[in-house]
Amino acid sequence: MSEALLQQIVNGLSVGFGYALIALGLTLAFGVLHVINFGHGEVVMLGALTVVIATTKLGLPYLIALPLAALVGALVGWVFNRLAVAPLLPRESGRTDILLTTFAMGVLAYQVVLSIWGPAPARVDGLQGRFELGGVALTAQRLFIIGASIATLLALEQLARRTRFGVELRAVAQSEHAARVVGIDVKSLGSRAFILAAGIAGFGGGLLAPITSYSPALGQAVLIKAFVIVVMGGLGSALGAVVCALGIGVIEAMLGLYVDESVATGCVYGLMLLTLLLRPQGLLGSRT
Amino acid sequence: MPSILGLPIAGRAGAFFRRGAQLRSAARFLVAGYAVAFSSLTCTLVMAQPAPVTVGVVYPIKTMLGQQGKRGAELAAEMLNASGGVLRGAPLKLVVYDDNYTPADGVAAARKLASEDKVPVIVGAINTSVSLGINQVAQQNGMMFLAAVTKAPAITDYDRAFRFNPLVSTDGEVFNAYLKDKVKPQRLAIVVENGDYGRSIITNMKAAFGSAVVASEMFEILKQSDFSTLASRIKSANPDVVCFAWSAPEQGGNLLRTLAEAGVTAKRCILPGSITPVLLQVAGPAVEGAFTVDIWAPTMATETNKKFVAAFQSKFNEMPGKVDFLGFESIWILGHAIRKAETATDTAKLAATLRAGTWDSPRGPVKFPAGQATSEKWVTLVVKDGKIVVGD
Repeated sequence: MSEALLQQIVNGLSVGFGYALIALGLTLAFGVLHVINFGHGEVVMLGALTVVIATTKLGLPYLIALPLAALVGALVGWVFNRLAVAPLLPRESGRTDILLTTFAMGVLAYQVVLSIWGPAPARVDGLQGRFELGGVALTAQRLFIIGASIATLLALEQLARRTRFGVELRAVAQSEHAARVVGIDVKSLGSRAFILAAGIAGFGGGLLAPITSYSPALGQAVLIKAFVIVVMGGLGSALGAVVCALGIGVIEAMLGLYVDESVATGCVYGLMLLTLLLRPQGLLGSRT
Repeated sequence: MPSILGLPIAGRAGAFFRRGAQLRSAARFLVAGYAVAFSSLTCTLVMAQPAPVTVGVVYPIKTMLGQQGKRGAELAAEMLNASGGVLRGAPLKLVVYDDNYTPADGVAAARKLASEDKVPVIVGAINTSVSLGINQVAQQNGMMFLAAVTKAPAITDYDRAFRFNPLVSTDGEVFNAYLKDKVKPQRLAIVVENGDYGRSIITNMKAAFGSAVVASEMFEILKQSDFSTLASRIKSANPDVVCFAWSAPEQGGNLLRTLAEAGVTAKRCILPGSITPVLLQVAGPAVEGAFTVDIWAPTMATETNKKFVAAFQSKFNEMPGKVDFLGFESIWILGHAIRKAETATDTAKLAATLRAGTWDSPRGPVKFPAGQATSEKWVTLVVKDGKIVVGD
């Protein structure tokens, strides 16, 4: 395998792991609450902005700023949930309305950032350093993204398997009705899942910020990609989101070596169309 | 004779009341006199403050570049108003709308300026398609259009439209001549945004440098945030010079950083208008040594530039960038043209005045042959020690 191809696989993996975290938040909210959070991208953007403010204004090291991004993401998730999700869930058409209310919350968050912080982009200095092995180069930040994403995914896996919260999450994801019958407080669990999803999105924003730079438009760019991943992986399927994020990251990077990047991006959307036509539940989603 | 409850009052008491009545009459007369005098004074004061000359400004104000255009325009209006207004003492007032970088919103803003605000002149526009839409509305309504930032060639087909930024072809001629004379690239790579602007640059540079162009890459405007694949392709082409063109400084900064991370060590030339203070902030050390040629630099030594840069720094606490300058220049020259033409509403006369004159600008004297703002001097800008300095 040529050096260039290996380099692209490594590049694709680092981007794919970043996408995976963002898509995972989106699919988690859907899996438990059966709602799509159209404001998810803005939570990612706010996570990146938190890292910018913490490192440049407060002078905190990047590794301290990163958990703050997750905290701010969770806080924003709590606000979104209180104002735009929880009050609508009991309604008959609540889940459809939530598409619009979360979209409105996203626009509101975007406008608030524009009016307070302005449209200026900002650089985030992540981890410094560069490694080279056999002609394949990888920056410390990209390596950190891969490592931190794997650690987060493993932690979520443990949370889902070993904690009461995780077991209840899985129970609600499988059958909300059965979960209610066995006494699980579905409403409270849904709120906590939504906040957790937003916390992961904020963390993802903080992780990606050093390679993408912060910009108020960051959220809109990543949301589209996250939707493609979630739809292809299967709405609500965590494993599907991770596998598809990595797959799309690597496919896009490898195709980019031979064709224009816009063509490579077009191919990914073509794959999504194909998936929806041949396997509407997604590659790893279940028909239920 | 005075009376109380209908009974006549005679003697001293009567005289007292008679005097009182006279005093009251005098007081009424005085009050009436003061009222007339006061109202006349008020009228005089109101007449001394003529109605402002209103001008429409359209930028994508939620973006960095749009904000820069807007704040340049606002500063120019402030400076014009502080020096006596634009039309027999009337101040210049700006009505600002957002075009959201989309032609539909730009056209809607221009129509609103024509029908509701009834402004005679529209200034602004960054995006090519947006500017063409605004130009059409201006033409339909007999308005004047000053295209401040866009490089769209078709703008000046309308005889009351003027373009301030040089055409891509003009940029290309000056830039290519500089590259050939000073840099002499042997293996040239071109990285531009995917749009009319970027594509025309690739065409121009391929025509100028022929087989020396070893790679030409495009990226998606605002949508693309990872440039690692692009960096790998550039690295494998092994260029000695890489030329870039972008509209969004965050993408430009990311590109430069990703190329540096990938180990691309070629000289970096950036098309005019994109080496700005914001780029320096986003790109960090990766922009060190990058160069460009341009019509203006914050360090140019003209008197108007010194005033502009000082006022800008005082108001915004930072150095102005190219779009700040273009936003300023378009309103600054418009204000002086209105003064000279002694009209803002007769747009045919205003356009003729603008076309015939030589106008003072931060970049030096500016003329408008065929509607294009043209100045004599171009400068080379280099990033050195984290600052933009004028080079050789």
